[in-house]
Amino acid sequence: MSTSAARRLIAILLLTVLATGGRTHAVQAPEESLRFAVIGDFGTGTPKQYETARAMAAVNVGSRYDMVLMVGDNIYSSWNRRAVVDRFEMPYRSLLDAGVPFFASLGNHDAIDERQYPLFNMGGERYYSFSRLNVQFFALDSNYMDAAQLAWLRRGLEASTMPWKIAFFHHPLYSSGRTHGSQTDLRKVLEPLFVQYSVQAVFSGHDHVYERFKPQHGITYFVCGSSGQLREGDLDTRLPQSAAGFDRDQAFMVVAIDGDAMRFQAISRIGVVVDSGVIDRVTR
Amino acid sequence: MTTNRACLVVFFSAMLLGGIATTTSAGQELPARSDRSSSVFQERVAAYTQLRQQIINDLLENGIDPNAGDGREFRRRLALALRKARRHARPGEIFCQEVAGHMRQVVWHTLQGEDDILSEVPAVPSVRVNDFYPEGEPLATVPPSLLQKLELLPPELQYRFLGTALILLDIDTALIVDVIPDAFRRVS
Repeated sequence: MSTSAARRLIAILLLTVLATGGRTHAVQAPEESLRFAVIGDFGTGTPKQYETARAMAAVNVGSRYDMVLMVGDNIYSSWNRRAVVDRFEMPYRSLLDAGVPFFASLGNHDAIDERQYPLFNMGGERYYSFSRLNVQFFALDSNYMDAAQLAWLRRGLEASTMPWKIAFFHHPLYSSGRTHGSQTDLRKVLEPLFVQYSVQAVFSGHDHVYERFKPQHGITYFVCGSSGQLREGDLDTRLPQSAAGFDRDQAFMVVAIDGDAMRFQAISRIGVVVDSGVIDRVTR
Repeated sequence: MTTNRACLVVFFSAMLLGGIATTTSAGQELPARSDRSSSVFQERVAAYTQLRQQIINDLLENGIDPNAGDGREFRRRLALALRKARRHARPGEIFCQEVAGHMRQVVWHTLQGEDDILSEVPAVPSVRVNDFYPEGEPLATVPPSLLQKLELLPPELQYRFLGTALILLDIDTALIVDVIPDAFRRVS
């Protein structure tokens, strides 16, 4: 057995153990995989945000992130230097110091000026795309899904040759959150593009809970909106398409993509795995 | 003929021809906008963006670095210069009367039942041209279905909701460029 194959086998065994639940500190995956965390609705500056950030940093010790995706509501209240320090630079200091890049999308509580902030890596744009290994990411501005953005997204998806296409933005196309719920108006314009161009996974926030949906038209949708905020008990009325949910504590996600497999975990503020699984890439 | 007068003539002509519907409750057909009013609106938008670009050129010629401090100082100077250049601007300067009437009906119609979005719209005592969008207040989502029905805008400008108004927002400066008051009803 080659070293690579052995690593892969070990990773699968580890994931099998982890998928049974309990505390963990990493999505284990082969060295050549792409690892990233996902956080949403976090920019509160509260102790719970800091504790969730520490849990994220603990995972990074065992299995380094290549990046962190931010699904919006990055900085609540005013956009000023003090808020940026209290709600972003301080809580994620250890990850920033370790050189982990953060990629932001804008939520409804975010200032448009955030796109200029270098550590959010938005390149001055409301929406943008970037690639790592075999994955192309599309960061969208779901606050304002105008014709220009939709045309840009269509062109980008059409031109992409990456096996994995992942979109992240603030408003969830599917959500059982009682506060906001599924954004059906947005779904009408985005989902046809995602289906047509084989997007495999979508990460959003807005509802302050964690939730995963059964694949809809081949796409797995995640709500990861409780990395600072939390609406306890907001998931009481789950949609039939919902596969898993967690609304008892803050949470973040850890994802590893290796070849045709995407492994994910949702981890609570105190480091408990509350959901996990593997998504196999399907060509549509 | 001034642009304002042209807009009024178009508006009343359309009224006489019966081209404007009077009710827009859910399920009823929305009025069609005329090409002429659309063209007037686009001309006014273009005039604004030309003015804006001229100010940007002046700032660059004066050695203001657009990238210093994440571009904050540049955007602040741009905002101040735009306010000064448009100090006499009044509501309707860009949203000419017929366009405003049509847009108000479209917004009213589209936002019916959108309580989740409306609940996020900041309540403010007044909405005035040349004011800044209130700092720290959320930017309520503008539904894609509404954007599909409104006139296209250049990337510098967005339609947004504030108070009970539909505003035209300069997204780099956070300046309110124009206002359509009473465009929707707030959720109590």
